[in-house]
Parts: sequence; C-alpha cells; structure tokens
Amino acid sequence: MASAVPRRTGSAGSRLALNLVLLGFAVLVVAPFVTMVFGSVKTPAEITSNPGGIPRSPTVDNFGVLFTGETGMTVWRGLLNSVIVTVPFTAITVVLCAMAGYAFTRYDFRGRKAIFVLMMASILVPFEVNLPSLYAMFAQIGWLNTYQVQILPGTASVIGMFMARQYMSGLPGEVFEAARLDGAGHWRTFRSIALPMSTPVLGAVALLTFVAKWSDYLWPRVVANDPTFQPIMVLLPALSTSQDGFIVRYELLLAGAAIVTLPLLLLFLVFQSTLMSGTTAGAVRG
Amino acid sequence: MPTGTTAPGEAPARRRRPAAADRAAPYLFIAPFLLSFALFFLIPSASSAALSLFSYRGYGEPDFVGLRNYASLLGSPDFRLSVANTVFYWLVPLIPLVVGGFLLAVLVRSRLTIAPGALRPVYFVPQVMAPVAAALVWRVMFSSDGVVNSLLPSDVDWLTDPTTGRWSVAALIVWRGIGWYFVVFLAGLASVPDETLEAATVDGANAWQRLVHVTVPLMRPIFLFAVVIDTIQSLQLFTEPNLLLGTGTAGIAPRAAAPLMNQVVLNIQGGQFGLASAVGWMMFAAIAVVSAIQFRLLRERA
Repeated sequence: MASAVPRRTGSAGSRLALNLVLLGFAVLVVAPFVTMVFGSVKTPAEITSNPGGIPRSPTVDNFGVLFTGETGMTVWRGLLNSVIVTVPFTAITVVLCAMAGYAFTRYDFRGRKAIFVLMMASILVPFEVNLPSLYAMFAQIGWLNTYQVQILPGTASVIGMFMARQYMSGLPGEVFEAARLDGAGHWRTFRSIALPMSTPVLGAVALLTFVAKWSDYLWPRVVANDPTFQPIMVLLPALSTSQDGFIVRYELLLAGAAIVTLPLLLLFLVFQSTLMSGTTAGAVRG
Repeated sequence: MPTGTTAPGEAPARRRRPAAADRAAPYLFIAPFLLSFALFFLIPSASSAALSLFSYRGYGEPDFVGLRNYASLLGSPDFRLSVANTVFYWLVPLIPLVVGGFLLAVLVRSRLTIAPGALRPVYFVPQVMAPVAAALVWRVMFSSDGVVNSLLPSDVDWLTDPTTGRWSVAALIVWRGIGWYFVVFLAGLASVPDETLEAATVDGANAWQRLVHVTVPLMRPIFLFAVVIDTIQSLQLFTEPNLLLGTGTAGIAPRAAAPLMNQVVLNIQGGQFGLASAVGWMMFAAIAVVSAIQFRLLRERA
C-alpha cells in the first residue's frame, strides 16, 4: 500500500505540467512508429508532399509492390530465410541453456565452478571481437553462405543459461528426490520434472533469443553475401535502392520496415512484461 | 535386515555401474552447451588473439608480425577517426540515456502521474523495433524532404553531411535505447526501501533532497551497470550509423561518421584478418578497463 513516493498533494498545476511532459515524451517516442505506418500506405507523390501527416488516400500498393513486384522474390526469400534461421537457432539455444543450467543446479561435479566462472567471464568478450577468426574459420570449411553458419554460432547463450540456472535452483528439491526414489533416471528427471517446471524461464529465454536473432544484422551481413541465404534484415536496406544508390523509394522502405517490425510488435503486445523484465535481467542483481 | 549373505563383490559391482552413470550425467547435460561454447567462442577467441599478431590474408601461412598490426592501426588516420566517432557515439547519448532514463523512471513513479502502467510499455517499445528497421524509418524521417524538416520547418541536411549525420545517429541511439534504461531504473527504484524514504521525509527532506541524498546513492550500482552496458554497446555499434548514413547497396557510413566496427568489417572484407583481429582485441581491452573501473567503484563503496 505504501508508495515509494510519500504522499504529497501537489498543486493541480504541477500535476498537469508533469503529465503533459510525460505525454509529450510519449508522443516523441511513438512518432517514428506512426511515420512508418502512415508512410507505408502513402503514394510516392504523397510521401514527399505530406511526409508526416495522416494519409489522405491510404493504399496497400506498397505492400503489393514489395510482395509481388520485381522485389517480390527477394522479400519472400528474405522472410523465409529469417524463419529458417531464427526458429532452429531459438530451439537449439533453449535446449542447450536448459540442459546446462540443469547440470549447474542439480549436480556437483569436478570443474563445475571453473566452467561456470569461465562462462560468466566470457560475457565481457563481445561476439564482435571474434568476427575475424570466425569468418576465417568458416571460410576455410566452406560454411560462408549457408544456413548452418547462421544457426549454430551463438547458441551457447551464457545469459540464457544463467537465467535457466537461477530459475531451476529455486525449484523445490523434494520433487527431484521423489523422482529419483521412483526410479527415474537422470534424463527422465530432467525431461519430465525439470523441463515442465521451468516453462516460464525457458519461454522467456526463447522469446528474448527469437527477438534478438530476428533483428540481427551484423553477423548475417558478414557471413552471407549471397541473397539466397540472406535474412530479411540484410535484404531490406537494399530493397528500394537502385544499383547506383541514389533513387530511394521511401514509401517502400517504410512498408518494408513495417513488415519486419510487425512480428516483433505482436510478440511485445502479448509478452510485454516478459520482454521488459527479460532484457533488463541482471540489472538489479546487486 | 542385512543378513550378510550377499555374495561379496556382487553389491559393489552393482553399485559401480550406476555410479559411473551418475558421474557422467552432469557432463552429458553440459556437453552440448560446452561444445557450442568451445567451437564458436573459446577457440575463435584464442585464435583471434593469436591472429592479431600475424599478417593473414585468409589463405596460405600466417606471417608473424608481432605488434605491428596494432602499431599500424594506431598510426592510421581512418582508424583514429573511427575511434573518435565511436567515442562520440558513446559519450553524446550517455547523459540522455542514463540521466534521462533515470529521471523518466522517477517521474513515472510519482504519485501525480495519471497512467504509469500505460507509459511503461510506450517508452520501451522502440527497443522492439529492430535496429535495421529503426535506421530505415529514421532515414526517411530525416531525409531532406522528410517529416523532420517539414515540421520544424527547416532545410537541414541531417544525413548526407557527416558532421550533422553523427548527431542524427546519436539521436537515433537515444530514441531506441532510452526505454531500456528507463525500465532498468524503474526496477531499481522499486528496490529502494520505503522506510528509508519515509524516514527522510520525517527528517524534513523535500522531494528533491530525498532524490539526491537517498535515492541516487542507493542506485549507485545500477548507474554503474548502466554505464558499463552503454559502453559495451557503443563499442559494438554498427547497424545504426551504417544504415542511417550509408548510401547505396553497400550500406557503409562515410569515413567521417564511421564507427570502430567498420574497421573490423572492412578489414575482414579486405582479407586483412590480422588487422581486423587487432581492432577486436582493442575493443575488448577498452571493455575490460571500463568493467574493472566499475568493479573498483563498487567495491570502494562497500
């Protein structure tokens, strides 16, 4: 009941000012979304004459052009590639994190502490540091321009593993003890006790992994220069740019941005609190 | 009742097999993760560190060159320019992100705020737009006949002039990032004990004094965390400047606005793996220094 901010009446004026400031900021934050949605249904003529306002005669032509025009094959291919890469990547990440997190919580084994410390320390080394050696390695084994080069690296998510471990260590030990007494083996105990009981955290890991992978740009751009294997995030910027790079069709860019943003926005609408607390997990660990 | 009639040797033998399985189990559970971790992180990290001391074109034998890669980078005007740009992209958005995010969280938690529950997801939502999409939308908004120039109204060249372009990139970073810091601080503020604030009120502290003398000191670890995260992300910055300012299908920002990551990517594309690795390891060194400082500051307090 007690609020962190002690009771203070405050004048109607300051109340109004505060809320106007907050509302104004909200408008600024949302403006690019509005520009995107409005712009995506404008004609090429209107996008220059009326760049920000409400569309006078909304049209879905831009989406038609993107999906069926000369760029149609590219857009479908890009979206398909994004799904082909993102879904298995997410699945593998969740399984690896769940299993490793389980090992760290349920077992005491030699090297446990050393491995854990090594993994936590690795958070300090950004993935980008390894870009050159990863590229050289994959070039040598012929993995550039493939799906597997986009699916396998990065599946050992230390943050995901840590989240799984934290959650699993809070599960009551008695259930595991009971399962063991009932004769359940190691895998059975994991599969039918730990996994179902950890659905909330594994769902959060899956969600965060999916969103991050779907949005990824640098890695696919570096390891895949063949449009056959490029995800939509890499194909999109080039879509409405002609070869000479000067004619940019803004309404198509906005429609394309809307297409790739829609799935993420839907996920956010449904799993709002998981996404917000998940991306900031670890911040308030102290 | 144990009768002691079991044949000697039988029981231990039966027990030994499950014991071996018990010992192996944790390693089997951790093996897939460890394999992925070793193949795509540990080995590449070691090889990257080594590679930074070699000249390697991606084929043939690497030539050992010692620290020459580092020396030639430090002597290169392009590299120094990209360091300066990265520092710009780090420091300019830092205050708006950390201080702005904090103040926003304080204001939203105020009793006077009408709909805090509705504001929270609204402020966070730019995080949900992928950097690629965000950069493209901003490119349209900041284009010469875009919505920004038409609303102001002005005739500013926001994107093609690299000096102005850097400010546009900084604005994009703040727009996309502030919601994240806001949510972090919101969670942090919830952990400030009510009693402490009430005690300060009883002692006659006003809202501003409570904020400066009670809340801010208690939030110190979170401020430090926010700065470290911002530093790491600034060093890795790639998508925003290149897609906002980059022209043509290549999507590479002009030199005068290019971030440090461009040195990694362009050197990879140019087949200079030693140089690219050296850039990466200098980035790591910078992160290690900032994290060490954070750790020191945290300990000093405790």
